[in-house]
Amino acid sequence: MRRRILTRLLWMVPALFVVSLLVFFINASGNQQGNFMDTQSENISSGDFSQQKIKNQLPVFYFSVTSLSEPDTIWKMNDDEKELLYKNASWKKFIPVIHFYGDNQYHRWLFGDNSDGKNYKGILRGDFGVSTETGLQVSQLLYPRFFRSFILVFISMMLAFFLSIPLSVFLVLNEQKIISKIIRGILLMLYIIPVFWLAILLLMLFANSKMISIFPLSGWPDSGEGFFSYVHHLFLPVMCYTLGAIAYFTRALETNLKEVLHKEFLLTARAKGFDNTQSLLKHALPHAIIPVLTVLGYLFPMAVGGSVIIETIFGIPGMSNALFHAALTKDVPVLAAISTLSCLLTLVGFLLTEILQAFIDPRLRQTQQLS
Amino acid sequence: MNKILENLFRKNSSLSWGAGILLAIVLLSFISVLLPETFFENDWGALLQSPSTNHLLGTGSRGNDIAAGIISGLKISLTVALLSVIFATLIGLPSGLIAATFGNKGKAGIKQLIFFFIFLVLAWFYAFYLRRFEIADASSDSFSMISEILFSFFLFIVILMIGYFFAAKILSPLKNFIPVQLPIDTLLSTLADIITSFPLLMIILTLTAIAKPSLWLVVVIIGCTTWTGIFRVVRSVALQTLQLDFITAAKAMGMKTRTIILKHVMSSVLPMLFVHLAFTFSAAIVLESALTFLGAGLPVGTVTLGSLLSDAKSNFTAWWLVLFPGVVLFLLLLSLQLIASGLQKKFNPRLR
Repeated sequence: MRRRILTRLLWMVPALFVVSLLVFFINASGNQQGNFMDTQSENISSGDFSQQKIKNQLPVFYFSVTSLSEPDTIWKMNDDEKELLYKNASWKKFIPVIHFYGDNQYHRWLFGDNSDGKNYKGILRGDFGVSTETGLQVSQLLYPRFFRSFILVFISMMLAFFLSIPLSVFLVLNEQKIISKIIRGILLMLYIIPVFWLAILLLMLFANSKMISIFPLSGWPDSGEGFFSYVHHLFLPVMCYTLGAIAYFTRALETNLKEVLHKEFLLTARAKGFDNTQSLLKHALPHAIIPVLTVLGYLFPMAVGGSVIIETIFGIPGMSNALFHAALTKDVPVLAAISTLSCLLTLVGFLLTEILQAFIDPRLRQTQQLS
Repeated sequence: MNKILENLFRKNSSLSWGAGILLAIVLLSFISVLLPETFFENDWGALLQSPSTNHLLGTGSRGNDIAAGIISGLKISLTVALLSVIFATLIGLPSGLIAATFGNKGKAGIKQLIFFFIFLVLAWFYAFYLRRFEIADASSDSFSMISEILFSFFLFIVILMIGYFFAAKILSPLKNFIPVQLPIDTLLSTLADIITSFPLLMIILTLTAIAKPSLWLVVVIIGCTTWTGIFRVVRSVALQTLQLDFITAAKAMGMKTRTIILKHVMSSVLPMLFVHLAFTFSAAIVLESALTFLGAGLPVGTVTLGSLLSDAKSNFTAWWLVLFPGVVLFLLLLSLQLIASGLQKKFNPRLR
């Protein structure tokens, strides 16, 4: 087991390298001029900023493939100039050339940038730069937001998980009764319903002055307020999250339980004198839960960018809300930070679920020791 | 044909119900041809009006008729979903079949691999880098843009084929052939795992922040993120089928791998693929309406079910704004779910 975890950890290094390339190129393809992490305010303060941008422009990556007719400083041109150059080029344009650059935008993004009095340490040392929109340090901006998003996701997932266990056991035990058919119908509806419509429906029902107005429209309680303020503010978003998740969990648990129900060890349990409920709870449930538990490993990536709709509708100042606003305002450092974090946490989540599964299921531990 | 349909719908109430609702919704989206154009224009005199004889389902905050919005929105939603499902299938089906047939046992020589990479760069250079201005110039007209891009792909594939034949015919007789095992299956499955566990809306929002909003962008993005489900289904069904005895028999009879895959494996993959296409279709619709709900992806001003609901977000006291587009969206998703479960019951006797 330990060896497997170690190999997994080692595999994360090339995976993170690929992730950093992806994040960089997706985000860098958006800004035509200026360097990747440069903030707008700096460029504006330095006078003629369009000229400044082109003068400071760096090549994007360590190497580039261009044609022979183009100079090796082609990245400094704008699109019209490039097109003119291309139209006027002779046969030389059909020959590919590779250029190498030591100092480039990707290198500076990773390892930091101290030119022009900038004090940027690079993402490898945990510095995500300065947000172009707010002018704050990205890590400072995101730290309290991550905490809020995580609380929201954690509470709702735990609620959904621990409510869906008795629900699915009940559904399996009383399969033919009318009440379980009704519950199944409701769960199917909750499964299908899009989150954003459910959220608006909840707002219309419970935060509407014409209907019932008990919950606030949006927002997060101030730091001084007590526990009840948290309940008051978080009730609707958590309910919205939980209802969708319960439908998903119960569905998965129910199908797993039904599959386990026909296994021989349950027959043995019943032969030994357990009744239906006991055998289901003690023997079938641990088997059925394992595949569902994998979701718990994804709590962290979900907290980073998984609740965009709920956070924007209910106005929760969390990570996803920051992502949404960064996407609207093209705030590249924040976007890059959130996508990198999300990738990192997804990989960590993979590892966590594997450890969790091995912890619960001794069979997985044994087969891995043999191999 | 009649017999097949009768066989499909008999004793399968969920499939019949689902198909019925879906047909009604698709017909509803085609009504727009019959309606006058004034029906789709904003009525600035009637902002946020509740349902009346003038506006059957009420009006939104810009005086837009909700019924008209639903009809034109359905058309866009269905188009986007259909195109992205086709795109996802084009990625998911071949990659699933490749992962199932080659597994982790595919082998290649190191020299061949190096040549392949060189030709990959060359193909990219000649097909896309040199032609980038032609493609950019044609981007104003969608038909000529598609033809330019298709031509680039054709060039790309031709150069790769030349490289392949070069590597296979000229390099392979050389003596020092150093084989490398290619873990194709593991690579593709891990990629699919990562894409599914990744918050989808996050990728999509990041991409829409960078690129210019358009219908094709949404189609490509949704297709690129939903192919994983199709890939998984195709891979697992193909793996199960490949272990059956009749495949061994076919191999013993000297059938080519290509024929076995296309004839025997595909015939068992297709039914489950259809089931999953219904799920993918509903996922595409949810993603598209979530995107337009957030105001990203499609160009500003496009009316879709999602944008109608985002109007409802700021005016949720207007119940007709919340209810009607939502119910239509819900019915559409419900019908797809019913069709999927009906098909599943039909093709998978274990669940009956």
